[in-house]
Amino acid sequence: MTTVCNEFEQDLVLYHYGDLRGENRDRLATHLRACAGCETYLKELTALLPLTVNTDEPGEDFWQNYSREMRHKLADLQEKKSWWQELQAILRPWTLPALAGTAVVALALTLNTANKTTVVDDGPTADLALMEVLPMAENLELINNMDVLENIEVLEVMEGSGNEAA
Amino acid sequence: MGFALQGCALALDGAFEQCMETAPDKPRDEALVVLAQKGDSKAFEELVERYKQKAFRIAFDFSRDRDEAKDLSQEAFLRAYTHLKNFDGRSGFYTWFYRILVNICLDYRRKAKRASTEEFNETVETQVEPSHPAAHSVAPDQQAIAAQMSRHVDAALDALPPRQRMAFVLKNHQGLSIREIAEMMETAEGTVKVHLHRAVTALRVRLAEFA
Repeated sequence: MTTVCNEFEQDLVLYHYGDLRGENRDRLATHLRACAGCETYLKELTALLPLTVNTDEPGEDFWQNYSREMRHKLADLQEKKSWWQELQAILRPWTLPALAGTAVVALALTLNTANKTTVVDDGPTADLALMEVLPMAENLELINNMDVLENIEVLEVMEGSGNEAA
Repeated sequence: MGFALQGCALALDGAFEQCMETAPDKPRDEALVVLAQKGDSKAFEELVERYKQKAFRIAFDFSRDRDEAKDLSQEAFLRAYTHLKNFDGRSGFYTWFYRILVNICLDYRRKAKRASTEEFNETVETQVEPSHPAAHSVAPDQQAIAAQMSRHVDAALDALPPRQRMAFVLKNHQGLSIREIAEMMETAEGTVKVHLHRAVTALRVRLAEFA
């Protein structure tokens, strides 16, 4: 394979396609006159690249069929589009009131649910309070039954008699 | 719809405008787009007639298959029709449309890339080994050589990364300018030049025996 000067390789491709202009083009043209490698490379491109074009030229029937298919596809697309637009047109006058109504209903439901939640929440809270109070009450009962109370009464009696003596 | 208008579609920006001026009885693309945007499907069908051949050729360069090329180009027209409201007229209709087509073709290539690469490797290994003596004796006539060449070129093109291939076919097959390719691929002109150079280098290596 032909060796090509690295600095000119990209420019050679553009030169082949006629896309190199001005100073760059002049510089490459001068170089080509002196460099056999780059000149051969350019000849290779000229020989090779047109071979990559594989054209398909369908006949008139193909194009008529193509246009017919496109018309059908466009009609289908338009039908779907118009169906959607029709639905949108029907919904449009109702959209704002419907949204407002939905918002009101949603707000009402939220408030109602919140209230219900408070009532429901009272149950466990009350139960908890009762559960806290009951042991205390039981303790008081226990205290009442304890002998120490009798002792206190004794002490009070003793205290009372002491006062009287004084 | 005559071939004159389709010829206009093949021309570059300025030439296209000039071409339109020489056919005053035909509405300009922009006028047809405005009508189509208002729901006139006939106007859009007219645009399809103008660009269908060019669109088909670009799609064919990518797919190398007539039916695939038809489907790809028709899909591009349908997508253009669906998004016609987004067309703001900053570029010409055909530039905008080809951008859609290019993206569809790139998607197609990305999806087909892996399978194509495998196919290429198989082809190179089994069918067209240049140093194999049988490869030289398989082509006693021009038709066989042409068929082999065609298969080899297809495989070589398939092996290119999608954007390199796009830059190459738009330049080599369609003859667009670097600026137009950059606009269609939505990239910088320098990037297009790099893609083009890499594609040509890769093809030169793969197709060296045919040069």
